[in-house]
Amino acid sequence: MTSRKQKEKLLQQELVHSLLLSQKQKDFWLSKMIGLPEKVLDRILDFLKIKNNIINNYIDTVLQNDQAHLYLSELATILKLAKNEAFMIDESKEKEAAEFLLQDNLNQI
Amino acid sequence: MSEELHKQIDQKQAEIDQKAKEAPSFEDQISQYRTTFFAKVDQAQADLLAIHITSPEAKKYLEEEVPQKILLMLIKASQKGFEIQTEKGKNPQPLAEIKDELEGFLAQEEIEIPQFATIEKIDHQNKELELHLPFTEPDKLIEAKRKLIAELPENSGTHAQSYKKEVEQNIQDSITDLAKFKADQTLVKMVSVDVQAFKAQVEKYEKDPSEANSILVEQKRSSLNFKKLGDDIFNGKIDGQSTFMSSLYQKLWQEQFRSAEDLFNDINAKLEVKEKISLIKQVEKMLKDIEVNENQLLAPQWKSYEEMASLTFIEDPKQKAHFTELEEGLLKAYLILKTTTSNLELTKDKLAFETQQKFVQKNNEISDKIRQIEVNRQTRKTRESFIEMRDLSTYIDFLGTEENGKIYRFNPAYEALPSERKQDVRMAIEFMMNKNQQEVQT
Repeated sequence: MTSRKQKEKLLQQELVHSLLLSQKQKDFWLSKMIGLPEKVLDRILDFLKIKNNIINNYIDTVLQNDQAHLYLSELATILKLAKNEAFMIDESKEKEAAEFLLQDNLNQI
Repeated sequence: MSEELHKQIDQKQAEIDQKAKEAPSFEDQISQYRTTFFAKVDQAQADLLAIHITSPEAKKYLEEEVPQKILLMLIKASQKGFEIQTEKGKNPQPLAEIKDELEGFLAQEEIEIPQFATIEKIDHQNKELELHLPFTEPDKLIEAKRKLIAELPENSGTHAQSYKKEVEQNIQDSITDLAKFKADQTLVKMVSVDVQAFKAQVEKYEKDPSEANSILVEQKRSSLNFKKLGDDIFNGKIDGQSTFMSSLYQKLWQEQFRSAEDLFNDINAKLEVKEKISLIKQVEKMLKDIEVNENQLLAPQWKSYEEMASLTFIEDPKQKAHFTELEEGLLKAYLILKTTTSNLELTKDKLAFETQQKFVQKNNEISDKIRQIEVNRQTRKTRESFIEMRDLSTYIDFLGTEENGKIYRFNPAYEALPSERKQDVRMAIEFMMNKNQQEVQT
């Protein structure tokens, strides 16, 4: 038998992986999870699993037809661009900070 | 083509075959791709967070915007998957519909959380009641459970309704079980009352060991079949899963049923000892009576009877009448004795070994006497039938006369007879000769 703690962990996983719920909805149920009546916890877990499985099945279908691995490439591209973008933001913010510091020093002279 | 070239061709072919064997199947490739893809998705967030950046803006970008991009890509992929399945005629459920269903379900669950909580609390209270059993009287338990049913939300929502029904049904089922338990508890009480009545009956019998009281004790004793009563009341209710009902039955069995059974066995054991002593006395008295009767009356008669029975033929009508009367008298007497001992035949196993041996021996002696009379009668009948035989002379040849009388010899016709018939013929001839001799003497 699955313990309450295990059930909570499973529900958390299903909520995080859900493509259909907004982040706000996910956060709401994640925050409520600990105090939920066990029956409600079971019911939401079961329902969410079924729906997530349908979506996973759709993605499976796509991957079966993606012999060129386009989706994996797209994912890699998103990540690569994200990293570059993050570095750029970081760099420009550092530059802004340095300029601000320089200006501040100049003003003090 | 040179041999060397053949070798090269074979070698190449073998390499191609080996590569074909090693290449993963299409299903394996898909499975591998699927695993890689989802692992990459799961790992993406961790990978992004591992990037060494310092500005909060860059961190916020990685934490919020990038996951949204991945999510969007996955939604796009699932939408595509839906379309592929539709094209294949699989009639899949549209994403928007799934989303609506999910949101609707969650919204209703949220509304009904208080009802679920109330029902769950009552379910929990019921389980606690069964676990700790603050009282074991079925009526009190039934009352407490009915109160719990009354506390269930009257108008529960569509989602909580089935849960409410489930909990209500569980409690209701346990109430039914408790009502059955109450009936079984009454049965056990009645058994205890019956044991007390048996005890009183035994005490009465001990004061007055009359046949009427003995019958009443026996009736009460045979009505108290604890094996059957135990099976009827407890079978399948104690063994198996440990539930609150099984613990109630366990308690009832241990505290009430077994104590009634122990008391019954105790009274019964004492009674059986007394009965055994009484039975031994009864049998010993009977054996003594038979012995006295035999020594004084039957033994002299039997001696006289045996002497007369050994005679081949009794011609004197008076003597014959006396013999017949003697035989009938003895047969009747031994048959009466047989009936007397037969009455105790069933209870002989309860006797002490020595008494039992004496009883069996006496019984066999009586049976032997009866059998002996029957054998004598049969032998006489056979002999008499030989008297009628007129052709006995065909089996003997006359050899001559000597001082002691005529001499005969069995001839080949006799020798040719079957062995059983030979014996009969021989007895008949001897009987005839004996008769002739008596006639001569007369």
